[in-house]
Amino acid sequence: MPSPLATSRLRQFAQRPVTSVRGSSAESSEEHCDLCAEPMPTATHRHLLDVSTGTVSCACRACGILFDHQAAGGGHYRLIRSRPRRLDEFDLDDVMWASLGIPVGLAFLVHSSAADQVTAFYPNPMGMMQSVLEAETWQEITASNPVLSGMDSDVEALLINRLGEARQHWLLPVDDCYRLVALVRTHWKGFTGGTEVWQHVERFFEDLPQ
Amino acid sequence: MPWDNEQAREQVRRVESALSALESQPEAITGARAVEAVETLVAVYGDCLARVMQCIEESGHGEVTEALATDELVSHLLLVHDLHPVDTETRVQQALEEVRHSLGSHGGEIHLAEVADGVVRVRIEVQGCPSTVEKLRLAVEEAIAKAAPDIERVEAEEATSETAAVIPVEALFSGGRVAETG
Repeated sequence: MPSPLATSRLRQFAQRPVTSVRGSSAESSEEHCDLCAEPMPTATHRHLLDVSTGTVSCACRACGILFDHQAAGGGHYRLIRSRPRRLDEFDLDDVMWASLGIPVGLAFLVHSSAADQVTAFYPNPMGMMQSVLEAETWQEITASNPVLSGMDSDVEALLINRLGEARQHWLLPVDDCYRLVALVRTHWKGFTGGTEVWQHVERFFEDLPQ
Repeated sequence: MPWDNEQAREQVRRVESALSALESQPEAITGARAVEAVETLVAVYGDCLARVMQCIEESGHGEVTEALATDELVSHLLLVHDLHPVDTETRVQQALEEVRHSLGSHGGEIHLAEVADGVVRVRIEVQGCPSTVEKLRLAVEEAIAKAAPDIERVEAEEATSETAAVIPVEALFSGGRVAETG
């Protein structure tokens, strides 16, 4: 029985079809799972948060399941669930909002399970600022909004949009929030951001599944 | 200042062992990213090499192409990227010629029967014990793997001179036609 001939590793790397860009377009190109290197769809893959470092990795479906801490029994990866939810009956008046001390009308709040505290992230010319919320303030917000008891720690955020006339509140996977941060970072001009950046932010909210 | 051939061989060996080590990287994410980086880099250099070869071909300087094909390192990388100007069958023939040359004293005969669909079929005629046949078969495989990595398998048919006179078993079942020995 003839065995296959040994080929050089370099040739194996050069011949791997997954990296072939011939005839592929931006739409059909595939990314690779950061954990097992399997090809996966660019648009619909999931993300894992490394709780110890705060980094987000792209994950194929299999690894998403495998590394979700509930399934893996307490590893440092958390699966970021993809279910943006708009909170229509959210109760946050101007006085309460002002007490958060956030200078722009856009912020997302994340509860860290490790530190057991809530941090607010908001855009500024430097990219992203963060400030830790007073525990009592967060308790007040959750008391008036029981829906927040269903918010996942670490991987889900309360996104508050009070730009212009908007009064929107969302529960969003943190990877969507990072996408918003990237938008702001890319399009921010001068001290106020310019009109372009806010148009992009507006479009981001329009594109969220209602 | 380019490397001499021995330095180039050493570097190629280092590449091979470094790439082997990558695949057993314990940290999955790091390993995957390293592999992806290497694949992308190799693809970029491969495409660059393809453009260089195309440029030479269009300039009509066939002698440059030939000179490149005989350079050990360039030839190796052209094979890696399926860009070698010499066709597969010719390269297989050359490889067999080298084996014949180096094993001439063993009194073996190697006949190329066919090159098709990534498979090379050779007939080895040799006087001597099975281990001599095996040695010859391995030498053939190694030479072909080096000269024609686009070949996936070598099928070797052995005909030792003692058994050459015996009617092969399959001839008994093939409607009475005795297979030619040659």
